[in-house]
Amino acid sequence: MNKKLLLIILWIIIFSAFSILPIVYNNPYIIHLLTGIMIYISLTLSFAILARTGQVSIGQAAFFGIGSYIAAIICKYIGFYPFIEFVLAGIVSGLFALILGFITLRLKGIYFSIATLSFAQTLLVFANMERKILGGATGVAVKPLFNNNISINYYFSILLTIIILIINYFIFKSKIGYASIVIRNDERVANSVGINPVKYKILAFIISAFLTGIIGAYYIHYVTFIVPDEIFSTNISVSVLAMAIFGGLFTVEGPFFGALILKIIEEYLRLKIKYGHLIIYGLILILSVLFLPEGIISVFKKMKIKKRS
Amino acid sequence: MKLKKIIMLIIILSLILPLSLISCKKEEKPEAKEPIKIGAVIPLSGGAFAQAGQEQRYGLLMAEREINEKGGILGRRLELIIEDDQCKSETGIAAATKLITQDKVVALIGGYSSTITFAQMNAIASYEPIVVWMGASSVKVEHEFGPKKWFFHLHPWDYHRQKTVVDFLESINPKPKTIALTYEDGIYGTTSAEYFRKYAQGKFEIVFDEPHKSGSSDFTSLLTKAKAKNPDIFYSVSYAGDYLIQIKQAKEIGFKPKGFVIVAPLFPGYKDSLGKDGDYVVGVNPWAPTLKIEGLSDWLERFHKWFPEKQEIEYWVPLAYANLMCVADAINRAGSLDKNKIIEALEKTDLMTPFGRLTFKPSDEGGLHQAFTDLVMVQWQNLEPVVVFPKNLAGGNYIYPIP
Amino acid sequence: MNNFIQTIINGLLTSGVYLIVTIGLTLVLGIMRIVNFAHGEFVMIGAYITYWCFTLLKMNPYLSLIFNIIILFIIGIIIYKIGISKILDAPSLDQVLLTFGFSILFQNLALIFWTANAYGISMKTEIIKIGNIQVGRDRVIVFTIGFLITIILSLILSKTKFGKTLNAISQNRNAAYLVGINVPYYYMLSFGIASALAGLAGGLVGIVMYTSPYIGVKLGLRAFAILVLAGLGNINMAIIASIILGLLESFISVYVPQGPGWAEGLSFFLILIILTIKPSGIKGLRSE
Repeated sequence: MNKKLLLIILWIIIFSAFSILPIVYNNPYIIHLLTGIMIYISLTLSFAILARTGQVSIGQAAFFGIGSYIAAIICKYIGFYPFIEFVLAGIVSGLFALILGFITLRLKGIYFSIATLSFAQTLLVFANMERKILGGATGVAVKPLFNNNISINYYFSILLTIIILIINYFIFKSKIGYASIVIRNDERVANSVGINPVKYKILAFIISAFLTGIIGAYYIHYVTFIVPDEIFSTNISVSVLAMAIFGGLFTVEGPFFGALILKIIEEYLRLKIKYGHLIIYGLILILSVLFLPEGIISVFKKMKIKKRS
Repeated sequence: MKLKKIIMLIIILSLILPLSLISCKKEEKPEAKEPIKIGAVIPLSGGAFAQAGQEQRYGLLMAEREINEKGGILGRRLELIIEDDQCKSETGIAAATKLITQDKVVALIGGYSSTITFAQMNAIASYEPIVVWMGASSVKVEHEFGPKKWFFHLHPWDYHRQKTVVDFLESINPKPKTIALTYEDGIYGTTSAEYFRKYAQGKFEIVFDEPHKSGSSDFTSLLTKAKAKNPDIFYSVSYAGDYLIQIKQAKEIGFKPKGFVIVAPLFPGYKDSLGKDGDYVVGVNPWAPTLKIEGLSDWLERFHKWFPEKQEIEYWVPLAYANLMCVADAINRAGSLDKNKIIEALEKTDLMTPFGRLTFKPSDEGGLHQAFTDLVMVQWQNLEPVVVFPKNLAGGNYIYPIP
Repeated sequence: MNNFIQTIINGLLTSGVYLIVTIGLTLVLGIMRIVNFAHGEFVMIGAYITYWCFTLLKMNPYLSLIFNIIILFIIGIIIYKIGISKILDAPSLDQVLLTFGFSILFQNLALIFWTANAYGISMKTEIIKIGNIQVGRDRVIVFTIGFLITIILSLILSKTKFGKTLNAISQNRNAAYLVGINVPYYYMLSFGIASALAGLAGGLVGIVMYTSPYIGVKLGLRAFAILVLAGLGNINMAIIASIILGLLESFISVYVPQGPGWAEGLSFFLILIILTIKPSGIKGLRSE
């Protein structure tokens, strides 16, 4: 129980700090930066739900884009109803995940990875070609949320992140979370203890996509204008992947800190180096896999264990 | 164990860094003669646009150096702060906001992608900063921000480019009748195609109209399809790499229209990559180094002295130079850093730049301050770029049909 | 009719490019089951090597292919030693991430050192005339080389001791250990060879296309598509799959309205279709 309390206090401190920052600094640059960080933290947290089952998705951008476009379509044809947009964005993304998962999650891991990548690319081509409804390559624009008030926008992104974080904890402690651990290690064992790997993988996939879709709907209202080439970009999928791995997939806190730290490092590099700073993601992936397979968070865990003994 | 300690250090550092980003600025003591800061957001990494951004950087740096050599602006040193938008909207927004609110630049310049410009302007509009923008050619931007009194725009809009092409095609003797149009299916190609169709309507017959994917390894199918229509003119709106393949493969399959028209034919490596195969291709370009512009050859000499490593230059270099120059010029004429005075001075700009004569006038679709609207057609003849249209700026005749 | 024939030939020649890029991947992923997402980047490096040999040393691009093979072989061995060998037994998750990391690393290194410009090799375009149809000589050469190398590789794998050893390892690694095969050595060697093949493909791509930091991305994805279509490890099917992909893209480009735009997504769409309707064939490869 003590550990739980400690965690809750930790989160309260962290989110309080994030909430106070704009008041202390009142600097739009910092607020924009933090909003971007929150978005990526949310994406990474959502990604991790599926990744914990051992399935590597390289197409997270697919659901991000689906969410954005659903929001855009609703805005265009029905009206500016953010809540409905968010819900539908999540549901449609979840549906796509259901279908895609049903097809590919029965297969070996690598096929799933290739399939997710293909899925995102297919959507990209489709969005580029479909002019009437989706605006084609010229993209689509929507009205901003909160009338472009960046502070409220930021707080909303914090709220979104907190919700996704809580959902992550629930799932982690639930049967899905337990099943994920078993599945990830050995699917035959999972079968023998009565866990149907495919069922739980699909479930995790749907939840992950659902959340990502919602973030997508929020995102398009934040930047107000998207084009397929950007919203379905492999860069997004890869960044999220790198952040989750760097932070450490096998805890809830890992992806959070992975995204936070990498985003900060990326911004710092962008300010200091002329070009090629995306190289950091490449290096992070390589180094993480070779030296820190359990991510940054494992460093803390090992320290705690050492303290006890 | 050492590794773990290092990692802990990295974590702690990266959490402290953002604080250092902010706190540094607050402790600056106001000096007697603080430099005047101008901020530029350009693409330097993260995608295909980075090529143009790197060109822009040269022009900006040259202008900064020459301005400071001559004593700076209003007697104070000019400090140019260049930010990379990484070809991403979020980064572009963050960079622009940082320059305005944190660095407190006098004016914001630069720009390339229309999408990112749109997002940036949306985000910073409430500050009403002075924006003298050299990027963005999409009319969406003109509709939305052109009417703003603080927004000044240098680059010709998409429709200007297409207008020039159509005017050029009309000037050809004997006049071509049929056109095969192809365009990259992104926002750039699709919008350009729309405008081309609009201006060409009634004047030419477009017998072929297909998109293609930039970055493809193969265009033979596309070209075969176009060849079957036997067009007089083949007009492709695409990017440098794609042109290399399209021109080569057209030769391979024996597709030889009377005229081969592209956009921005002076990209670096054209001559080296294509050699003789690149001859007779004509392209629309905002600028060419051989244009009869006052002071241009002198500027070229100075540029090559500053940057001997950069042999070939695209139009972004003189445009970027003009971008920074005209802001400095306006501030000097305004005599102060007062926003309204600078805007007034900008509106009265009449400056000779290596890009051409720079004045701001309203443009066709709502923009208040548009600088450049006329482009030229440049044809490669004998491995040399020759301006062939309009006649008064031309250095040679347009060779048609392709021999 | 001419158009029709030209379309077929275009498709075939394109499939040659795809085939040559895929062949290395077939070896490393198809047979050795090592995921290499950086395969496309090896191709990209090959393209740059050929470009620099042509531009700086004025070398005939076809001759410089020898450098490609050697340099990429060495790079492959190095990457294997410092990275892949450590995670051979790790879940494929790790291999995906590691090689993805290398892919991004190489892309950005190329961007830093050589900028985002696209560079072509300016040899005069040679043409071969077949009746009424005209084709580029270089593309024919690429197609021929691709075809030949595939056949050679297929023969090596089925007829030579080396090939049979690889097959043994791919079927049952533990058994291979037990019969005294130096498994790590063969993994390293095949990774090196696959990289060398990628380098060769890169040189050819540089000749008929151009080179830039990002060409590996699209070509790499095509290669994966072909592998999925053909079924992992099936070299002969890889030829058929490349041809099918090349022809389909060509026909869609020519005969479907707005075709060239749609043709781009074809390979991805095919992957999804194949995975849907042919799961049994692929499930069969689910060896634990």
